[in-house]
Amino acid sequence: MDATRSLREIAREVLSRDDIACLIGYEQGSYGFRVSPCVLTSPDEAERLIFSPLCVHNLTNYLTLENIGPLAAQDLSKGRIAIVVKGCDSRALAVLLAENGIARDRLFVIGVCSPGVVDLKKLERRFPGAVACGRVELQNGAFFITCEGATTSVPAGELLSAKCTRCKTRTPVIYDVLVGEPDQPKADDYADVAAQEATSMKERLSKWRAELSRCIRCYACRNVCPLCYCSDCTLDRLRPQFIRRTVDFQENLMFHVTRAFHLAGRCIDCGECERVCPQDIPLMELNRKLAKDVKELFEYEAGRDPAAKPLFATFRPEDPDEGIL
Amino acid sequence: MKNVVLQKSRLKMFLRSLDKTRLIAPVNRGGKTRFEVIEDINKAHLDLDDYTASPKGALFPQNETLFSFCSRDGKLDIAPAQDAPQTVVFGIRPCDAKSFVILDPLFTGQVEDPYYRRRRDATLLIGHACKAPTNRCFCPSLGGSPGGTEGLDVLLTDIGDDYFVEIVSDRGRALLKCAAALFGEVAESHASKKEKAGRKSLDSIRRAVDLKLMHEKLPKVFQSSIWQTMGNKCIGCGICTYNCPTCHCFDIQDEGRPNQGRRVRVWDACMYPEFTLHASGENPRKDRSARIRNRIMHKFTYYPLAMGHIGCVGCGRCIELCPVNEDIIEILNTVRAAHD
Repeated sequence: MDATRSLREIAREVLSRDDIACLIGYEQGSYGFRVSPCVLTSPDEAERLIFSPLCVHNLTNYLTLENIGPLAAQDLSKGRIAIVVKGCDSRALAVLLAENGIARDRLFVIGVCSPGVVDLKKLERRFPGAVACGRVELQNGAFFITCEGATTSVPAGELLSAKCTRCKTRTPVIYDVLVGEPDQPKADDYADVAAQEATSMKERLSKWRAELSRCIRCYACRNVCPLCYCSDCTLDRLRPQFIRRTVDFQENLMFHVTRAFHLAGRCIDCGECERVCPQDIPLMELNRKLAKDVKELFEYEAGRDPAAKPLFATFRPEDPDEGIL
Repeated sequence: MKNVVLQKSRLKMFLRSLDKTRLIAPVNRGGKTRFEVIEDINKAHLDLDDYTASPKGALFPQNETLFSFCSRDGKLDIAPAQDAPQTVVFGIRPCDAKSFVILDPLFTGQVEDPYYRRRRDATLLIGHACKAPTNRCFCPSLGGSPGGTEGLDVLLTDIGDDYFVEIVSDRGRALLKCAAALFGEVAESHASKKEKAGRKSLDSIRRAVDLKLMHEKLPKVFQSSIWQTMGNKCIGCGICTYNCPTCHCFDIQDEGRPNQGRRVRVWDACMYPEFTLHASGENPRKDRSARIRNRIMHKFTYYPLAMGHIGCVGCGRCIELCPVNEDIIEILNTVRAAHD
């Protein structure tokens, strides 16, 4: 049975229960290859749900965004939130739970073993102009893309999202019910980080000067990040004002470096920041470098082990660094 | 001087002929097109095949120093903003040119903004008709077209080996006169090619929205649950506002130290909670559904009533760039359906 049909069946059952307030999932978007996040509250709406390689969003972000209609604190008494998660998304959930960002008993987790999602920007460049809703399926190493009545197959590697090409946790690490065939998680070799490590500091500065000069500070990267959920963000502060409102390289650098370090040991490689950036800034390069450093320094990888404490809530007496302990 | 044609190979020569004028044109920065001041014409991205950038910043920059100040030995020096140099903005899309017509009554109307005014008066706009509108374009619904001239001084249309050069304003005519030798006369074949190109572009636009009486319909659905549905999926970022050619809200801040610094004007976004946060801690637009509602109502009700223009040109950048498929066409269709 395909993932969409399984999800709809699960949703119908789950949404008829008294202890579930709503379900956060994916539905067909308004045009072309766009898919939209949705919040369902009744079993009659289950048919709206879909799952495909176009379901790029990490929905766990909605658990921590302020004031989400049915999720607002006053409504939580009505029951748990059911949420659809892919492997990477479930790692965000693991970090949120470990940090007490949300309580496990408020969630009903529908895990989907996702073989990978598309890089929407690449897909839309390849198939420009689609207005009617398109479909994408991933089978035997190829995407089958149906667009304006014609189906084309493209080798998966050409359109697969970068995060999926390096993903080692396709099977969700947390779930109450699982859709799809689970597999064993693999070790991350951080091979993608090697290229940037091979460049000199000078080259890196000039690269990031060019990249970050483009930033318009729309804060989409921050807002889409499930783990950027401080209720009082330093970026919004006027007194003291750590980062000026003027948008230039200096202030943008301060913003992105601050954000990257706040995500060190927390970023779970869902790639949402990079996906949503309207200026195509390769933000995941920063996050991946820090994830690799954290792995090497502390043998820690965020969200892979749901039982693990947050990195900064752990220490080992035999830690070779003197540090602040 | 009537309409003329310009051989494509002469475009750079024409732009070079403007040497006493500052030129702002699209440049490619890491695959993204932006409008920037051009020092070397060879670095400009003149193929104009990319629709990403809005030229809003040419007249309403994201950062703008209003004045700088310095106090020494009890004496306060205030340096006013720099004068706006004579400027030509090249390569503007017709929809974006129209956005300046929409912004004009706000910045140069009852309360005149001297910074915008100076820049507006010193700037000529050379447009480029759209050859290949995208799947998020809907300018005809807003009274525009891929070959529209509203707001422009000159419009170029690609007709194969030449550009058809349409002179829209007297200032545009004066600009071209300075380089008259570069241009050729319009033959009948040029005119028919131009008309054909315009029709082809217009026919390729497939998205539309019915805006009839929208400014009256919106207030009637103010309390509707449709806003909650949209607010649920909105992540509250500034993509839609910052990439919108007509969004114009700004913040004013003092940056620097108490004895030396500057007063700057920076873009602001109504989708940020801080936008309406009062000093008391109260926020009248408490959640994202209220903010989306305000953004839509500002564009399609409040602004038309106050300024006589709908605050949207149908460029569709908000549709393309929204991370969660908030689609302004769909929103307006939902409003219409909820009301009817």
